[in-house]
Amino acid sequence: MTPGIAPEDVLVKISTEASTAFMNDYHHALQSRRNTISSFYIPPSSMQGGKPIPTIVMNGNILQNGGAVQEMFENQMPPTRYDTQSIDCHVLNPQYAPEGVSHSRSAASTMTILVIVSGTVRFSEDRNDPERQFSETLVLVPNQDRRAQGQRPKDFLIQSQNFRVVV
Amino acid sequence: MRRIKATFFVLHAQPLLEVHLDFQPLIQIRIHLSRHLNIYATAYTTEMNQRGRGRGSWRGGRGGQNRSQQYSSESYSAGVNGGQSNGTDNSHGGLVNIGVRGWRNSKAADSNDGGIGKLREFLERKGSPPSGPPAKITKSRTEGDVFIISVRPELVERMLHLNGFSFAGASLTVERWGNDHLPVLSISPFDQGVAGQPQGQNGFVKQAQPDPSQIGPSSTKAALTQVLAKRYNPSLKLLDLSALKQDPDLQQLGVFATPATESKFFPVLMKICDEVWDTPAKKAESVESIIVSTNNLATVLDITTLAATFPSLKNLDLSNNLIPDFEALKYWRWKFRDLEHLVLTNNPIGSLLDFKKTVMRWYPKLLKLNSAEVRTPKDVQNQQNPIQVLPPYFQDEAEIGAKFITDFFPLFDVDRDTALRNFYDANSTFSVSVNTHAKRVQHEESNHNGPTSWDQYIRKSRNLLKITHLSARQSRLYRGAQIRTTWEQMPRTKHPSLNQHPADWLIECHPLPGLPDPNGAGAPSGGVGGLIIMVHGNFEEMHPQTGKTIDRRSFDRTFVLGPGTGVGGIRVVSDILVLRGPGGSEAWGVSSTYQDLSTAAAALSEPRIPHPEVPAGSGIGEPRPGKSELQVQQEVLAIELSFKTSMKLEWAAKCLMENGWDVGKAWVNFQELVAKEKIPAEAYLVVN
Repeated sequence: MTPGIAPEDVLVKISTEASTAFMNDYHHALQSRRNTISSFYIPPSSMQGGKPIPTIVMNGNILQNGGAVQEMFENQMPPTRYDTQSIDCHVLNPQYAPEGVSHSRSAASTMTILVIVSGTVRFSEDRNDPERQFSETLVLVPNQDRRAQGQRPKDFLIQSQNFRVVV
Repeated sequence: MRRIKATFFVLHAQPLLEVHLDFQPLIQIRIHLSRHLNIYATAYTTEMNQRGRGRGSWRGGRGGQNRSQQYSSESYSAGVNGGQSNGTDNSHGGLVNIGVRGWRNSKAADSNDGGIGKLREFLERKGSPPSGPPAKITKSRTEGDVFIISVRPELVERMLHLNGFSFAGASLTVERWGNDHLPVLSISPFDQGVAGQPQGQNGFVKQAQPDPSQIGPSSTKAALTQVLAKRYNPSLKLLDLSALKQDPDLQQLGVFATPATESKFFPVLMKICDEVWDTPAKKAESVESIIVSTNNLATVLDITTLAATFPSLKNLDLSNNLIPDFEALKYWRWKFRDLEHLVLTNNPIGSLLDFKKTVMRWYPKLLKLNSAEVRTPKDVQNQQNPIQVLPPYFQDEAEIGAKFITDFFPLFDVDRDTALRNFYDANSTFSVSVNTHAKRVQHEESNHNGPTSWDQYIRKSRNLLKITHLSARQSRLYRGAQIRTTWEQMPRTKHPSLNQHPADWLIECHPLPGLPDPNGAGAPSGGVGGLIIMVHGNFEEMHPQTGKTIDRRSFDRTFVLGPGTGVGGIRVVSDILVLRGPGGSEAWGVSSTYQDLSTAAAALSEPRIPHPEVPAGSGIGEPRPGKSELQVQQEVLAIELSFKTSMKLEWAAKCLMENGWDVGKAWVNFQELVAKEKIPAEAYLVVN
């Protein structure tokens, strides 16, 4: 094993607990704390080669950043009810440390996570309205700037998100 | 007397009853309802004349003569005279169908073809006019004991003349025949010989005694079919079932004579609808609106089968009934999911306080209630899926994503080992999770498919909502060589072809930074760039021995690709698969998807430089006079494989031929042969 990488059980424990907790918080925010939505995303920047991140795609629509997602949910979306039916995740990069950011030595702070979620969403408060099946893939990266986030800073933020209604 | 077997509806007994009745000469009248609905009502001449008399036929004609003239102006020229019949079918270029029976009893029937060849020869010879060109049977087919021939109209009389002729020791019956792709509904006029039935008079003649038990089941059915036809407007796609009790035809049939017959009437009518429009698609296409007004309905229970028969109805008029409340409507609480317009005017229910609110809640796509607009189509769309559905976002880098997908899925289906060797390394990760609760698409067949079994996957499923222990979460995450073992245990799959069924797939892709650097020093870094690919689709699951399809599943699968030492300089960093019940592809639209990828894939397979063996003007891979379409396709495939493999066309064609002209399989086979060094140097194109 490459020196410096946390043991597999630590990686699995952190990644699985972090991703299930994150999705729970995130969907809760989409449902009832829409003014916090943008705080789930990394601040806009660009990857090597100049492409902007985060990358957010919902049903093929490109959203520029977390602020745009928040704006859409606050102004365009009816009450929304998510029911997560399955979650799975992999550690993508156990040793992620973008340049210019001082990193602590904890595994959580250098880990990127691929998360895939399957569930239903109802775009209405009424239980009788139809539910749609969705699939969502996210890439979470460690939150590099933990100062700005109020009392309980998030450990991970969304770097990439792809949401699709599939049924 | 010959006996034929027929299936009929009976109003007074169980709706479906199989009886035998005596067969007599028929005439056939084709009732044109629309392009999608053609009914052959078969009747005796005498009956037709009687039925035509004294009341308007549904097209306004009276009596057999008038009818015949009416229909002759359409596609069917009926000569309803003294048992003379017709059978012109313009859809077959003016040919007339004639049925020939009795030949099964002939000596010729023992020959290999059952005597058909000899019979055909016999009919042509005997049917030929004394002078002029010999008779020719244009088309023929066999249905059971009937040899059905299609001949030009001028030959009809000569062929019918052969009725009663002796053929190889058997007497032939030759008569006009209906068109078999359309439902043939028989009316038996006198109900003679109906099993278990008294030998009654003609039910239609005995109008003084409209007891349904006296009405032949078949004639009732035909009569109801005609009532249905009368009440159907094909251009409006409207079925008008209003004021049924005032319908003289139904009164005459006695369907409202007793409560028992009345209660059977509507279900039987719906059964007939099920036969006339025999698929859900035909129903949805042909009947968008139904009027059930003015029927004294105090509950929809009496007509509840309407919802089962026309589930995708758009407009429903229940006005002028006696429906008091939602209790009386509750049978349709979960029906008519596509209903757009509901009319309940002049029903007590309309004065309820929550009337509009409840109706809107029950029918989420409802746009209009009575005459008021209650939603816009945009409202409906928004409540279903407020995030507009756009074609896939496919932002590839140097076609790496498109190439990976087009290579990977065919390999995954036929040769998982090669897929692993080509794209996975010791650090690649894979896991599968099963979403057993996922919504399925509501297809007609999904009902009898039964619940999907997940036995083959459930012990591997890494649904973190269910698998909460760390040890299980760890053991269900497969890395490197563990992936091979896992894939070996997973059922064989068959994904639809990306090229032939692009609409079955939704594939999105974009660059992703921060991936592990395989050449990195092991120290934390910003990582390297790669691609993330999200795939949604379905596959068939194959039986390991028979290769037959045993199940159908939908999946969501995300790949993260990074730089590596695999084919094309890539590696799969992560492959994460979610399985769910069949969900179809409707959600991402049928026509607009996959354009980017299919364009990219087409770009990959299309030669950008001319093929050395296919100079311009050579015509290889292009249609030419005398060249079959199959050959053109095979040439195109050979060029494609030749480009991919650098093998000469001849060798590419050979490889394809051995792999059933499946490029995916041929490619896999090629790679195997390369690995075994089985491909000679001469097979390859000479590169200058």
